[in-house]
Amino acid sequence: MTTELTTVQQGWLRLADIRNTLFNELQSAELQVQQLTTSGTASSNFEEVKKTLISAKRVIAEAKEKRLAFCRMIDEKLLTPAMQYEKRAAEKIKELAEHELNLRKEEEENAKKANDIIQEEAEFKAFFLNEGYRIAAEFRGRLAKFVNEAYELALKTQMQVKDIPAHILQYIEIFKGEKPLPYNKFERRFLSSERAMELFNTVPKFQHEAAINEAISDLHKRFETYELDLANAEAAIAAAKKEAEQKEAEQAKNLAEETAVNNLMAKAEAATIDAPKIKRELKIEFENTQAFAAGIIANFLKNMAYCMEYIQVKNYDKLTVGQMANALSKLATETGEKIDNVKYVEVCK
Amino acid sequence: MQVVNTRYHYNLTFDEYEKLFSLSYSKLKSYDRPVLNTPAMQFGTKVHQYLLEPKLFNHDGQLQLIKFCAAKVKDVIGDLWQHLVTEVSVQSDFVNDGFLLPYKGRIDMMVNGRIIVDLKVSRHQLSKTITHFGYDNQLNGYMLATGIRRAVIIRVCPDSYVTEMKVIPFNSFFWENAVLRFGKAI
Repeated sequence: MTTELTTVQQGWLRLADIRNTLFNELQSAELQVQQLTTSGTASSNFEEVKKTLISAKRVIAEAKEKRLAFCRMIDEKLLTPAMQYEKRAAEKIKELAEHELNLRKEEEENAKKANDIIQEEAEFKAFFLNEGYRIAAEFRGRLAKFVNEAYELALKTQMQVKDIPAHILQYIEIFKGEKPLPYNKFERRFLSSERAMELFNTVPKFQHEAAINEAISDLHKRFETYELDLANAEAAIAAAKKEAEQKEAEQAKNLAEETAVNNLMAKAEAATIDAPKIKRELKIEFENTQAFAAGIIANFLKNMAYCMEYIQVKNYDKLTVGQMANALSKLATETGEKIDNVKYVEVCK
Repeated sequence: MQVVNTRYHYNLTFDEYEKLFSLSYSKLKSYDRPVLNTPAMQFGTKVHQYLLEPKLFNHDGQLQLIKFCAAKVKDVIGDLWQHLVTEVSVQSDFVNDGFLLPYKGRIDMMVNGRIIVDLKVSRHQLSKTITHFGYDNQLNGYMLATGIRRAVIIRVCPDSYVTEMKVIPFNSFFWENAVLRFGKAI
């Protein structure tokens, strides 16, 4: 049984013959050139050598034409159509990759928004925790100063012991009239007012009434030794001053430490939401002008020490302006160092 | 669980600390396993030393990388840095249900009574390493001994210098068991 072949199939069957014929022709052309060059090299007659050289060039040009025609045919009928499948598929993959990148960007944006809120919530809590600590420290410090003042005044004026209870009562009234400083304002950027209020309610608040009661108790304790201190008022005043200064310094240290600890804890507690990774690169937009090329070359030379790590060439005669622009692009991506008068585009992958 | 007889040592070298007669978390961990000292661990030790014991730091090899890592950690710690005491050795007796475990720990950084800060130099995220290496147990030992209840781990990656932090919640469960398993009957 014989199979009828189509014209195209018959054509492909003849390809092997065509290829063999061509290779024979190319081989004979090479041999012809070898003969011509051998005879030409042996001759010292200028006209004869010139003619031989022309003939050899013609032979090889003719062979090249035949080879190109064959290769063109192979390219047009075989290679290019074969590649079309990949090209069409690559287009589709590119579309899908762009879609995937857009989704990643969207997710990154959402994660960034969520992280901004988480971070601000942590900052908000640390801020009011620190505010509470600051307000408490200031209020207690203020009352402690009144206690010292009351005692110093009594000693300086040589107040009689019988007058001390009234003196203490006067200061207790002063204590009761004192109010703590207000909270400073937190500048919200991402938090809603409802959420801010919710968080504010979770932060322990300073109870100033308790601080007043502590100060009243301190005041009474301070005057327990008044009668004895009165005998050497000057020394007692100096000792009280020294003690107050020490306490103040200690409180300032406590406040600074607690504030720094709260800030670190806030940063550590702000668990971040992982965003999908997007690789961002800066690319110099290539302009096909002499001025642009000159600018690239000049800037490449200026930054050569840094740019060379991005250049991979075996032969420096192959180094192109395009490669220089790429190296400058990579430098900008990694270090943020941009050159003037060129346009950068951000490429996401 | 009771914690008694707590003692702090502020100027001990690591070798002196090693000689203290007590059981540390790393000793407990390597109770039935050999102790490793990989190149990555050696690098981590150098970063610790440069940052926390600069007087002992030998300025040779990978200096730039070490400095980058240390600078990133300092950045993260921020204002707290000036209040920290570093390489504090602590000893305590952990007592539970009639058993006593003499404990010791070497705390990277702390503010007395307020916070413990531990440094890890690692390529791997803390979410994976904390449980794997038992960093939470390590820090809970410090928390038990010192009475401090706020502890944070800071990680710096030796390749990208990326940092991250995690708060370690207080939980004495591991140590309660450790006292029963490794402690001596009183």
